[in-house]
Amino acid sequence: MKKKLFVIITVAVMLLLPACGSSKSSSSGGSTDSAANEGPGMMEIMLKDMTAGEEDLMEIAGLDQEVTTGLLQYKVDDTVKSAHVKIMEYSGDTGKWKEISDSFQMKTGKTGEIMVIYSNGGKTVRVALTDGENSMAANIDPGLRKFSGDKDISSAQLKGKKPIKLHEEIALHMVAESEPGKEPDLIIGVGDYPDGKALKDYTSVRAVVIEFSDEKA
Amino acid sequence: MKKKLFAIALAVAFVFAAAGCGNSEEQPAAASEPEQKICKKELSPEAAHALDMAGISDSNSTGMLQYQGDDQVKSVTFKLMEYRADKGKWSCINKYKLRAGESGDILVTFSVDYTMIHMAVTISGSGPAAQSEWGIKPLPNVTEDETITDEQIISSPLERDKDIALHMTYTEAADGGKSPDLAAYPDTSKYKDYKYIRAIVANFSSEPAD
Repeated sequence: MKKKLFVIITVAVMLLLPACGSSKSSSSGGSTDSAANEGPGMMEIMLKDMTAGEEDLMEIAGLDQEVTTGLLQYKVDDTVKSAHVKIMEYSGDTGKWKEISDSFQMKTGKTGEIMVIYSNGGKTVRVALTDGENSMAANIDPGLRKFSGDKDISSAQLKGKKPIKLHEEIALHMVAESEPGKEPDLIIGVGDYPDGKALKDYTSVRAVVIEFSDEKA
Repeated sequence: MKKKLFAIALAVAFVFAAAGCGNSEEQPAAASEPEQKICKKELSPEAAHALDMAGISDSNSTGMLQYQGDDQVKSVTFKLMEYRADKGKWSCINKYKLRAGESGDILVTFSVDYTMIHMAVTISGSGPAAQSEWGIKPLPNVTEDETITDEQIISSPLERDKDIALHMTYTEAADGGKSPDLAAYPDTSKYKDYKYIRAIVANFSSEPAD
């Protein structure tokens, strides 16, 4: 009887062990296979957790929230082939958004990273995207308007997990200008794109927007 | 009995000898001081990837450097220097003084046309002191027969009050040529083959930054 029990327990443990392994890999969400298995509805984009060393590096390079989206990671399914990154600007005078740079269409993988950085006072924007196979594409537009030195500047960043839907625009980062000394009633957030209540308090808002697509880049 | 005594004596002698070996190895390490130098910092693959994603490369930065000086180091002055073959000498475009310490990291980044520069210095264990400057004299235009190339420091001894070239951007004929020797700075006789060089130079000092 004891021998039988031992055999049953041994078999049960052997069956359970691989199952434990697979549950670990899906909860970490890091492997390409797990992303593929999750299928539609599990696509998302979020700010990547950085190590202390990476955070120090960003700080020493002067890459704070005002000038960058930070390092974002995305996870999509097979239907997604590319991402359009647009630089949009809202004018408090007209109450409308306008695309101020040619959109960057880049090839995506099942997982990858995105980083958008302004330099030269906002005049230059650089968009970098990886397709999950350590293949990075980068585009630069050096011809934007500089952020005004006469205005108060505030910024916002995508932080939590944001579900991705095909052809839906997601704001990743915002820089808002307001009249000096005139504190806005509402703090700007990426959720204010495209028609948040906070917009009315700012003279200008620049947003980095991404749209995942099934079109090939 | 004699055998037992001999064995015990041998064991004791071995233990003392082994302990002695250990001491002789540790003493010089404890007594030696770290080499005073400034050099490229080895980055983890993740940190190198983050720099890559941020577009920080050899052509627009010094790369991440680490420095080790003595306990008298209080500041570092970054000088933007330019060399013109027609003048045959170095002249200073701008200089910026930042606080520094005995050891830490340095990163200088700049726009491709050199009109903006960002300098950051850490003192080990604390956040960076940083300064960004805009409106700097741009690089001269190059002709169709010329290209702009860069050379970065790998490692250099760190002496207080001595200029150390960290990065050089220079024009050269499109068919290529030899890179300027950063270690030779500021000896103009070593740069007479170059039409134009823009250099970022660091000078560590015991004078505190303002």
